Amino acid sequence: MMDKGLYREVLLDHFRNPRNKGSLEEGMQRERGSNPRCGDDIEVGVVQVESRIEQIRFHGRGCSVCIASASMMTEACEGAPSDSAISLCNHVESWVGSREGGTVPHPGVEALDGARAHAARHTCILLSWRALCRLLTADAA
Amino acid sequence: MAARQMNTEAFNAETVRAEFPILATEAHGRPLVYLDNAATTQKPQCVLDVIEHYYRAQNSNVHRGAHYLADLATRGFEAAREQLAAFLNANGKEEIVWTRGTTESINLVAQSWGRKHIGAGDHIVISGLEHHANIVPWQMLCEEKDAELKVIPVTDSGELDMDAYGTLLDGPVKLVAVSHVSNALGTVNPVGEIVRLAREAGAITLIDGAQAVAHMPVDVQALGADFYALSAHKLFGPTGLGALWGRYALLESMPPWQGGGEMIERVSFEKTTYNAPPFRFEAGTPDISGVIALGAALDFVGSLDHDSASAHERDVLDYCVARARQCEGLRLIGDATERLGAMSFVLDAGHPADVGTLLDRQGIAVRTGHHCAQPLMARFGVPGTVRASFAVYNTRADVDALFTGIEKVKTFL
Repeated sequence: MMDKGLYREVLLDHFRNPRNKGSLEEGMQRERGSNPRCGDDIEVGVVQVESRIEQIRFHGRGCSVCIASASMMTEACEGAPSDSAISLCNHVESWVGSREGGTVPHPGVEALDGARAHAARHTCILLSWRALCRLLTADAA
Repeated sequence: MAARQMNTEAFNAETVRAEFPILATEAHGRPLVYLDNAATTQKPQCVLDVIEHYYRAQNSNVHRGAHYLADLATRGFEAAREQLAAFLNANGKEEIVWTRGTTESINLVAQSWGRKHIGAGDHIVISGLEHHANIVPWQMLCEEKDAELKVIPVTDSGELDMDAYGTLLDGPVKLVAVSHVSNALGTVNPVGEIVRLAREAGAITLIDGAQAVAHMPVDVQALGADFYALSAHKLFGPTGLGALWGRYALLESMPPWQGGGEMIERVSFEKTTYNAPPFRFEAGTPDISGVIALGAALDFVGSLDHDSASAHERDVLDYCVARARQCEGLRLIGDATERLGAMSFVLDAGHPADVGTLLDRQGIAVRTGHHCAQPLMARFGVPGTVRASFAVYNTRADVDALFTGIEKVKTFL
């Protein structure tokens, strides 16, 4: 197998069997993320109950890195307090931006370590996280 | 620059490849297979030599100094203009305006000719195959002038719907701007017919030749168009340089679009009068080394035996398309009868960005994404494609490497 670094098995598993992916339900708060450069286009939906993410889903299209990252995000954020999720989004943003080193923001995103070394794929990784961050930040304001 | 004479008996791709030092590069530990020529072609040694020589032995500003170096630089600069005029069979070197590239050439026409001649209610016709560079300048002009942008539809095979074009010409069309060859699909448009019909309808024509000039001889007089735009870097020359060919009478009727040095005749604080074309449109110090290096690139093209080089390119592209048709899970995007230089596809196995990354890991350089042609991608219902694009130095072995790579991608994703 080539390119073990970028396409780790865990990442490919999230791509092939994305968690919490499917149509968003009525009443969910939604935020869209799109990258016209590569045509990636996803939408994140959440249900917040008492400042906690009760439910989180996403749908749309994207490359393996984009879909896997969104899938990992839903697993990492489901059930989390909304402000912790915002912090996690920010941590993922800075961890990806640094390309190497630093503390892994959450055990569930460790498999993105190989992808973050490739600057060209940063938008793929961060598309869903940025959408979630916008959604939660706007809601908290 | 002495032109090398190629063997005209049979095309020898290895001899041509040897002129391009970068083709010996290894990418990720694998021999580079460069199939991104529609983005930019590689540069032959003669072009690299000329750039270095210019800065070592000729560097000076042009048209300004009375000294030895200024004369050398000016002569080299103007000799290249003459070479490009001959290359395009223009009616004199005064019809060649240096720009930063095809994009700037098109913007020049939109901002100078367009702002003078386009008015409210006028139609500008482009095609659904265009690069953003031949869409957005016209949109901006239409917005400013309250004119309308009309688009020739694209058929399922990635060709222009010429019947629909005929109907569009019934409108108040002032200008038709289409690509000679589609950058995203490789479709060769029937520009001769497009220009003829436009002229009958009384419209001015601009042809975006960025993807054509490295692959076919272009005779602007025979073509009959009014403007022809091209980039040096897609023609084995340096980046940051392009040219606009325009009929002299048209260029002469156009106002300047950028003010500065070179483009003036006489300046006072009360009134400035403008220089004649092409200098009217060349404000500021131009890319002198780039222009002289383009001359070397044209020497390189001139050193190839045209017929055998052209037959070789056609053979490699036909072979690639034939392999693609046999490749399970691969869908060609666009399947024009007349195709040149490029082939676009998607794989069932994966998103173009993943395919591109995995090919790159095998040393194969392709372009993925929307190719600056988002409306065209929308037409085919894909977010983007994988594009393999060719130059004269590519071979069937490159195509074999591509398909070996694709098979590996299919097992991986």
